[in-house]
Amino acid sequence: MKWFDRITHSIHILMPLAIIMAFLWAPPADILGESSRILYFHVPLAWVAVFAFAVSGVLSILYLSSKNETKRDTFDAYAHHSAVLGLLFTLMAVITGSIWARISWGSFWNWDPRETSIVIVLLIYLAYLSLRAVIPEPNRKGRIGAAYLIIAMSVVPFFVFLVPRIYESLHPDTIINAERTVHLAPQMRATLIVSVCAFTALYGRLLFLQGRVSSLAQRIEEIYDE
Amino acid sequence: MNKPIFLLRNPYERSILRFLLTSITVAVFMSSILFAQDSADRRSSPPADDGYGSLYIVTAVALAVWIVISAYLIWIDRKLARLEKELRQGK
Amino acid sequence: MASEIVRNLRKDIHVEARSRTALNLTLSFSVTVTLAISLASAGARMSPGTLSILLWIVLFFSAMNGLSHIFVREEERRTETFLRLYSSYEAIYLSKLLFNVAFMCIIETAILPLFIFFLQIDVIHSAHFIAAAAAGGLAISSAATILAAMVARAGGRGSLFTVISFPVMMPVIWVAINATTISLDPKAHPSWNPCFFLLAFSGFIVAMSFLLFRFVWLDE
Repeated sequence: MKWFDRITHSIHILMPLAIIMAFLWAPPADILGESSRILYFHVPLAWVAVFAFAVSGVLSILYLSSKNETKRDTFDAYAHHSAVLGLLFTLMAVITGSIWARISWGSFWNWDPRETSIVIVLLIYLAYLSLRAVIPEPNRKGRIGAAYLIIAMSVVPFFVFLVPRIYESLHPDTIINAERTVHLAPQMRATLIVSVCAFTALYGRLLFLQGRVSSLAQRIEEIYDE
Repeated sequence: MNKPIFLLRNPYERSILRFLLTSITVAVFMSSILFAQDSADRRSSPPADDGYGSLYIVTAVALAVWIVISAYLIWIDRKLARLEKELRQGK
Repeated sequence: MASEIVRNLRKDIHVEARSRTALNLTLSFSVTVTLAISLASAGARMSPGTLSILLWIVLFFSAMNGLSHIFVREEERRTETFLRLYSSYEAIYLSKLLFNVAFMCIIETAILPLFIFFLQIDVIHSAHFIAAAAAGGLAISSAATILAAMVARAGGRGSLFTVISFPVMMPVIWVAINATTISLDPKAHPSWNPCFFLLAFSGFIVAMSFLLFRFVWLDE
């Protein structure tokens, strides 16, 4: 854990680098033009949104299966913080995606598969946080929240396989995928990778800071209770 | 524990709110930057010359925003480290 | 364990039969909504897509109305502690699941004929229509059982159940709408794949819920 914490400090170098590379170094895309630069922010945001979801899910499983009391509390706290951060990143991904959709295709929202999946993730986050907010006892809150997240998480793959069969995609999936394998210039690829690393590090930084704040708060509460 | 603790006087949910506000501010800034960039793009007819000028401005604004966020993160980190040290020594 | 399940189920059916609150409320709700739709559409013929969307919206919200009752009632009447001591959690889960499935069957049996009657639906491929409705109902009630337990343990507030159920049940509703649309469309060639998907989903959710029910039900 400590090693992860140290590594997220690299955000202070990675993010300015990502910004400079995205706006100045990478060339504009062929058809989409300068507005394609939003790609270097939207894709990492969406990636972190799903990553945070996965982290939350894994921590929930660890929480339910762990026997150690303090470890369980840590898992629960971090799962909750990861969910809050995931919600934020999902919102930002939806906002940047809508802006890009408006610029590229003329309408803010189109209900294509990727957009639908991110809305599902958003709804799951909201439901999870509402469920946790309603339960007062911390023990019960943790267990029920974790159980819900695991169920919701296991339903999401059904979507991933289901959605493309029902809807045709408007998303530049084919373009970007083709770009990823064939047409994405090396500069663009490098910028994208740096940007993804930067946003993942940002998520990690915020997560660890939040974890430290909550554990400190808890210890102080315990001291005041004594 | 006689020193009042600025960040943690209220429940820790409040600090989540701070992060929320910070991140929403980031989102708003980034979105407005990208919008501005795109409208700057559209207004100029030859894309090459004007485009780069506005790109520099956009990069500068984005970097400025990031420096503020970065400073905030470093400040929180230092404060937390100080508090943790106090708690360890206090115990 | 089978005798425990049967015993719990019989108890639930007897308690429900005594007051019939949940059943009455849910049926009234579904009938009201169906009539409202029929009234509002003023006899206009709707496309198969629209009809199946309306049908599954009515079914979903009727389920949201009634399927949480089985657990919320235990919490409200403070009988859950006794139940926890008296039965193992596996038996409780399975008996509540069977109850919810039966409940959903009753709701569907009431709504489907009303829908067909009031909205002048021409069911082209009837076997697929009934299979889609049955499989969808099974999937909804399977998912709803564990979620109802969570809501009951969380205090049982009204719309919380709908909020937490919707993301989990969205694949079900989607596929069910798709399957129902195809069964109502004279030009389409229906397949059994959506029904298999729904059955697989039900099985999967029941398995997951069975593993996780312990954490929801027991306070350790």
